[in-house]
Amino acid sequence: MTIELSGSSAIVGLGETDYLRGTDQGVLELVLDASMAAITDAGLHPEDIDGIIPPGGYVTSEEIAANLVIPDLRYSASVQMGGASPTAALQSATMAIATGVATNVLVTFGWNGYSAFRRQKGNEHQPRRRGQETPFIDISRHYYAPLGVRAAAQWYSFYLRRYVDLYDVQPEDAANVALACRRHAHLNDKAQMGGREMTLEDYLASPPIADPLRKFDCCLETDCANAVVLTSAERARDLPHQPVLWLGGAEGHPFPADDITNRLDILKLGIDTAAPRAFSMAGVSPRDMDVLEIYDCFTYVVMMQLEALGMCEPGGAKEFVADGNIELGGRYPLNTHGGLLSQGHCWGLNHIVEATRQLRHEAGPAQVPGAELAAVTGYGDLGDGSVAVLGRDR
Amino acid sequence: MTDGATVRRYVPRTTGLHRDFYLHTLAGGLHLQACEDCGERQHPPRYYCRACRSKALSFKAATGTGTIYSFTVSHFTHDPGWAAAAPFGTVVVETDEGPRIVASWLGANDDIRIGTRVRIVIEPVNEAFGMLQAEAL
Ligand SMILES: [Zn+2]
Repeated sequence: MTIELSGSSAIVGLGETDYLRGTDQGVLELVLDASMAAITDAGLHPEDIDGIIPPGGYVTSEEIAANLVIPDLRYSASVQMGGASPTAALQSATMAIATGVATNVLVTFGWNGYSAFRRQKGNEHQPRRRGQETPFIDISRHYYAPLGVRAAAQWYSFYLRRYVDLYDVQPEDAANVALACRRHAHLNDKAQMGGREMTLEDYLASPPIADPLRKFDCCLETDCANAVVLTSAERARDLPHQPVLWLGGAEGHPFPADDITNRLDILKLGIDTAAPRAFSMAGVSPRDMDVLEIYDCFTYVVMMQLEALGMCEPGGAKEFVADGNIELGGRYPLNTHGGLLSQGHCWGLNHIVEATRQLRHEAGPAQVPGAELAAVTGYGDLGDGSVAVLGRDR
Repeated sequence: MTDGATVRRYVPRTTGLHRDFYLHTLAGGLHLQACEDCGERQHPPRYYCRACRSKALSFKAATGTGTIYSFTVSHFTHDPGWAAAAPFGTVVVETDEGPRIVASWLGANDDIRIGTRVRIVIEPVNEAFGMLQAEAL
């Protein structure tokens, strides 16, 4: 028996904290605040939630249930894909709902992505949770870390170097991604970089981090939390907001996922296998999208994902991101909230929140007129990928 | 690479197959896992052969030479022990046996080129770990 998943679930509630550099709130409190906001936005009460999916490590389903007083938790799971986890979790939530295992599922993520790495006056007594060991810890600690290579910017540069060489991608090309996100951030009250202008000259003058990455290719360290609530498409139609349907989604893992350097094709990411599955399930083409919410940990990684999604041919991203095509007013507005690069880093759950706002037609000055379809990607660890195709319920 | 001596660099407490890799490599130069059933060479070490899934794997000496496949130059590092060395080069070397390894670059950063022939040099750090380094041939 196959259960039809496409269109069976809907996002019905959204919650987000501010995106901060420095807070005296620990990760658990941030997650609870975002979760309570999402449940309230959905027109539900905490006791209506019977499934919780947080990414592994920072907070547990049981802590959330204990604090929000959810006495009968029926389904708890975590996805272990780093930044690809929240978008992959939409698939897990949909499976739980479609099979009747759970009714209303909370997908949440939060972290002290800034404060956990810094002791500051005022937060000395907060628990500093940094998350659990990564799925690739054995390889990383034996072969990368002893060489001073301990950051995502350094790991990914091993394939980004091949990518920029193969397709002659210049910093001016990647700058288009950073500049689009920054311009969109100016429209978003919650964006960290709102009002802080960035020009191409600023971008080019930003210091090198790990060749080919420079500072303005990199996302922002952030303290924040987001949450969304999913339920069945049927129940969604009785709740306060315009339902946003999960039309299709998939996760993908490069092989081997735990070591970047020994892949058969070092340029193939998890998104490459996830995207065709997600669009096929949704029954739509990448070119049908009205809004793109692409996991922008680094500008060049956005470009590779656009190619993997099928928005353009391999090597075509540098043309795709040029000439305002990915800015509001262009054909494929990308990261209309400012993204990880200019709003803040919430592991891409903020991309799901923004895609949902766009499809509700509640995105304010960043609204893409008449948006019906959005693609969201997640990217994490050493190249894991997830995709969700979302659509406005008609 | 003895700079950064004032601040200690991260040194892994090696475990499992990875410890075996470093023990063999410290004793006899770069070693790579080899499959006794099909001859496949692989890295990092695994419990099953990636070609035939045999468990009959052992560490065999490699030539210790290869070609730069990719690289980065880090201007920033989370490891305070490496901060003084920045900017430092790290190269991905495709060994002549096939598997790729990551190594610190011994030489000027401007000289790193994909395709450059290199030799792997092991710098012993303790009885069960040595740093993999690469120098131009
Ligand atoms: Zn074999």
